[in-house]
Amino acid sequence: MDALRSTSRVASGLVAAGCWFLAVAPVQAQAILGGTVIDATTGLPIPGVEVKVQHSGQVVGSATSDGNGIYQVPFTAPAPDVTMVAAANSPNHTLATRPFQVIDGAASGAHDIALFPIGVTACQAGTLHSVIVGHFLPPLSSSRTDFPERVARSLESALNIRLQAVYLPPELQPSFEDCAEAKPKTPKFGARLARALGADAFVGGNIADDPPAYTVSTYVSDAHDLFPSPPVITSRSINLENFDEASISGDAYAAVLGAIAAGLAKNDCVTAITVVKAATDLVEPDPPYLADLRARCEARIPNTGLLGPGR
Amino acid sequence: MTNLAPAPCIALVALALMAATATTAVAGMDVDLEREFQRLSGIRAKVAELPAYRESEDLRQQVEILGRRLEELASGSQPDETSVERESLRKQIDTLQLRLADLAKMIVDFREQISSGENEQFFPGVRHRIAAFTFDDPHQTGLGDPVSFLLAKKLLFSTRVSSFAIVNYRQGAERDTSSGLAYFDRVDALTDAQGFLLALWGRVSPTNDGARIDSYLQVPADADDAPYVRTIRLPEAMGSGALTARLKPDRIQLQSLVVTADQIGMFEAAAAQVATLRAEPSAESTPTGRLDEGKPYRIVDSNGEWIRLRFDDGVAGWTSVDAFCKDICRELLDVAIYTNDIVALTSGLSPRPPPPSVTREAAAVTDQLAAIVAAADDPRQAVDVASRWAERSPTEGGALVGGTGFANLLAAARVSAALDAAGGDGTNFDSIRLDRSFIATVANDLAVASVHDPGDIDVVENLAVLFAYLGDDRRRELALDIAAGLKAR
Repeated sequence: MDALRSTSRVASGLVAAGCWFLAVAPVQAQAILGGTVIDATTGLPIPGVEVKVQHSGQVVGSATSDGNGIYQVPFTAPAPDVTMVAAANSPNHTLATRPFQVIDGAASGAHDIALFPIGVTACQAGTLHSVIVGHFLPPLSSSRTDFPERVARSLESALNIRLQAVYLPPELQPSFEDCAEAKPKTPKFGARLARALGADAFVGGNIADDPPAYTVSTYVSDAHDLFPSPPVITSRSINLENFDEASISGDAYAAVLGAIAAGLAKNDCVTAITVVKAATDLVEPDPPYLADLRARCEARIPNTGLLGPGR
Repeated sequence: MTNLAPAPCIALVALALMAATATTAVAGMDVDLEREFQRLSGIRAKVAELPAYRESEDLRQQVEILGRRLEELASGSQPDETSVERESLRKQIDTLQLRLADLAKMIVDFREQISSGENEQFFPGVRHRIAAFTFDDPHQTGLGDPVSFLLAKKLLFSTRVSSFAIVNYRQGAERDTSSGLAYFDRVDALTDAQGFLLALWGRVSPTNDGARIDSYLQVPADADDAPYVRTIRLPEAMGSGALTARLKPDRIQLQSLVVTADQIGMFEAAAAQVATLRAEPSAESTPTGRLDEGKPYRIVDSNGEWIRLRFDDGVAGWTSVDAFCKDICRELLDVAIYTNDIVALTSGLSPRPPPPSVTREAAAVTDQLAAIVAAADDPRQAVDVASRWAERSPTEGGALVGGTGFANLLAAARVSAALDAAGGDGTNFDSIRLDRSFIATVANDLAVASVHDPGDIDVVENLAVLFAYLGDDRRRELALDIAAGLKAR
C-alpha cells in the first residue's frame, strides 16, 4: 500500500526575511486516499464500489474500486491538517462513511473500508453483549430458511436461564440476533463479522441430509480471539420439524457462553469468571479455552491477594 | 405473548391435616402405651407447625404436660395403679386431636378473609407460602397446563407441613418483552414483596421426538433470610465477629424430563382424572363434582393415596394424584416431592434423600440446606456433608455443584465444631480462643474458594473476620475492600 501513498506538499510561509509583509496566499495540498473495499461479512474484496472523499458536505474527489477491491482517490485537501470523510457506496451494500485525518497534507496509511450487505446492519444489537446467528446452509432436501431464527431463540432461552441462575445483571445479559443475511465464506470470517457488529460471537452452520434425519454442524466464532479456530459441533439424527434446544449440544452452548465471558473479561473478570462457571457446568471435561480464560481472569482479580502462603 | 397484569390466581388453598409422620418408638414399652406415645408425638409435630397463636401455645403446653405424664406412666411398675391413669391420658389425647382439628379450621377461615384483598400480601398468616407458575409452553406442546396442574395438586396433597399455601401465577414466567426480563429475574419481579419461601416454575420445549419439561426452583429475592442462612458467632476473645453460611446456589434446575410424543397425552388424561371429584376413594366411584381452579377448598380427609376435599359451598369429593399419574407422569411428580422436602427442611423436619430423577445440583442443594439448618446444633454433621462436596475444586473434575456454598459452609461449620469442642470442658464461651494455625488453615482454604468465585460476598466477609482474628491486617483490609466493591455493584 506504500506505493499508493502519494504526498505532495507545498510549503507555505514567509518567503524571505525582511519581506514580512508579503504573506503567501494559503496553498491547497494534493493527496491520495487509498485502500481496499471489503465485504464485512465475508472479508472478500468488492469491485466496482464508488468511493468519494468529502469535506463539509462537498465532494472533493472520487474513484471506483478495481477488480481486487482496491481504490485510489486523488483529492485536494482544503488545509494541511484537517478531518475529512470517505463514503463508499454499492448497490448491494449499505453506505459506509468513515472519517480520516489529513496530517501535513497527507492521508497516510491504507484506509480499508468494510461494507455490510444490505440487511446485515439491521442485525446489530443495541445491547452491551450480543450473539449473531447467521446463515445455516440448508440441506438439499429442504428449503426451510428459518434456522437462524430458531437457533437464536433456542440459544436465548437456554443460555439466559443459565446466566440468570448465576445472577448476571439484566444489562449484561446478551441478546441473540438472527441474521440470515450474514453468510461468512468461512467460519474464520465469523469472528470478523462479530467484531464489525460489536457482538461477542457469531454462530453459523450447515445442515446435511442424513436419511431419515439430518446432521447439523454448528460453528461458533468469537470476537475476542478466545478460540484459536472456531469450534465446529456436529449433532446427528436431528428432526428438522422439531429443531429446538435439544438439537444444539452442550458444547455449542458452552462455546457461546465462553465468547460472552471473554467479552465480559475486558472490563470485569469477576463477572466473567461467573459466566465461565456457568459454561463449565455444560461440558465435561472443561474445554481448554474455558480453563485458559478462567486462569487469565483469576490472575487479574484482587481475591488472589487473599490466598495464603504457597498458593 | 401473555397479558402483562401480574394478577395471580389464588387457585389452591388447603391445610394438610395428614402431615405428621414423626414416630418416637420407646424400646421395651408395652404396645398399648407405645401407641399413645406415637399419637402424642404426631400431635406435637403438627402443633410445632402452627403459627404462634394463643391457641397453639396452649396446645403446646398441653402436649408437654401429657408427654411428662406418659413418661412417668411408662417408668412405673404397678400395672393396676396405672390403668386408670392410662385411660385418662388416652381421653385427653383424644381431646387434643379434636382441638387441633378445630384450630386448623380456624386458620383456614382466617386465611380466606385475608385473601379477599384486605392485605397486599397473599396469606400472610400462613407459614409456608410457595409461588407456583404455570409452565411456559411457547411451542404449544399441550403439556404446560396439565404439568402445572398435576404438580400443584401433588405439592398440596403430599406436603409434610401444615400451614401451607400455594399462590398460583397463571400467566407463567415466560419472557415479557415490555420489561426485558425473563425467567428467574421475571419471577422475582412478579413476586416482589410477597416474601414467598420458594418459587416453582418451568418450561416445555419440543424435542426430536416429543418434548422436554424443565422445572426450576428459586429462592425469591425478597425471601426472608431465616431458613437459608445460619450465622456462627465468635467468642469475645476472638473478636465477636460472625461467620455466615448461606444456601448457594439458590436458583436451580430441578429436573429435565424427556417425554416421547406418545407419552404427551398421558399427562392430559391424568390431569382430567385428578380434576374429577368422586363419591368414594376409588377410580370406579361416581363423580360428584370437579376441582375447579379459583375456588378455595380444604383437605378434610385422606385414605391411602386418596384425598377428600371440601369447597366452601359444601361440595366435597375424593381425588388422587398418585392413582392416575403413573410411569413417566410419576417421574414428573418428583419435582413436587423434592420441593415439599425442601419446605419440610426449612421448618426443621429431617432431610430425605432426593428423588432419583432430580439433577445433581438439586441433590447438592438438599444436602447443603440440611447442613445449614443443622450447622448450629450439629456442626460436625455439617462439616462431613460440606467437605464431601467441597473437596473437588473447579479445576479438577469439571463442574463443581454448589462449590462456593459448600466451601463457605465448611469454614463456618469447622469453626463452630471447634468452638463446641473447646467449650465442652465448661470453658466460658466468650473466653474461648481457638488455635491460630487452625483458623489460618480454615482461612486459606476459604481464600481458594474466593478466587474460584470472586463474586461471593459472604466468602470475603467471612475471610475478613478470620483474618482479623489472625491479626493479618493486609488480608483483612483487602477482603473488606473487595466486599465493599461487590456491594456497590
